[in-house]
Amino acid sequence: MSEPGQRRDDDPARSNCTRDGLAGEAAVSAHPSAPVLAEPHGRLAADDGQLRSLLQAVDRLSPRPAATAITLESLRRRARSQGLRTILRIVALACLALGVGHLFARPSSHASTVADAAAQRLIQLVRSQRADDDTRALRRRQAAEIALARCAAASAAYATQVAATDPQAAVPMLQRIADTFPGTHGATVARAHLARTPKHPR
Amino acid sequence: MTDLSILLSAADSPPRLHGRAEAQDETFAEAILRHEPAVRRLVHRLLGWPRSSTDADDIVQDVLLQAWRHRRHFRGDAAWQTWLVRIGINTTRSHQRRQSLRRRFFGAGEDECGAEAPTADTPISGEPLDARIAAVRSAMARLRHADREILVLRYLEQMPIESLAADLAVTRNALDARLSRARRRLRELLPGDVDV
Repeated sequence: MSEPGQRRDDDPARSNCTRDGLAGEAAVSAHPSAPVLAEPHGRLAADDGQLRSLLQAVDRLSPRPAATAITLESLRRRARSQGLRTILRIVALACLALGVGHLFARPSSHASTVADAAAQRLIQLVRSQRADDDTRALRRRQAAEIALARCAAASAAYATQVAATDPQAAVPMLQRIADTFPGTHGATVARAHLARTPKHPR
Repeated sequence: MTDLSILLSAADSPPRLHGRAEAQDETFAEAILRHEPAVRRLVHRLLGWPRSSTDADDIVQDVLLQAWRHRRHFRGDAAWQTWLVRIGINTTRSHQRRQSLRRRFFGAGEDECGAEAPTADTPISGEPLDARIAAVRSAMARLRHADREILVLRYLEQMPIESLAADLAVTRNALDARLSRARRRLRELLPGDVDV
């Protein structure tokens, strides 16, 4: 970098001038505390300087962006809303997986894997938020619990449909629902069906 | 007055944060909020001086939010401003990328940069505008974000070349080439009688 007062001939950065007039550390600064920089010379310097002054004029004449009052509280609010957005994404993912893969109907399918991951994420989210009691954590937990309950209910509804035509085929689905979503209404429905289903087909 | 060159070189080290977590958070928030105007100005320029401040507001809030979220990772070996400016550049870039994708899927016919491209005869601040300046402003707004970004950082924020190359993760030669390309593209967008 050039030192203040250094002669241009001695300046190693000058050897790095490009045809655009740029040099090493060669930002031309008007501020006294900024380092003295190697100026491009000749036509290159004129071009570079011309563009800079034009852009500075545009910048000067452009309306200043009005500052909105950003406070710590507004940042916290935004963080909360982004947290909720994350929850909604998870719910959307879970719903998509439910719709596409009939959740537990085909345990080996990719959609089922995605649904499983979404369900696990929701469970994890609910558990991780239990220790906190602030509003943000509470909202997250509620959103995750609702999503979880819907996952369980949708899966149970599907498994019940299957059970109506083929009770034995529905057993693994119902078992999985009961194991994956404990404490939800869907799991209760699944367990009730399991209890009614004969262990061995006649 | 330059913005970044002063701020990058200024002894703007963050205060050592000690004490309880809440007090630390307050101190941190105060520090980042103090730099909000500089971040806003940078974002406004990177977006090509849009007339509406909605996007800039959004990005600035995101920048501060990200800084707030990662406050525990801020080691204090960089100046606040440098740190926030880097977040600002990255956040604006991501925002522009998302906008560009959105336009590709949901809309057509708008400029790639997404900024509202003012017409050359639009007065900017109420006073009659020099046609040359209006043309440059309009061309800047129509440039691709990557090109506008490099021109803004180089010519308006006056970032030192080395630091600019480091921020954009390119070599000096690559940076020179990118600057050269950006200038050429800007020139192509300008009417024949305006030379830069």
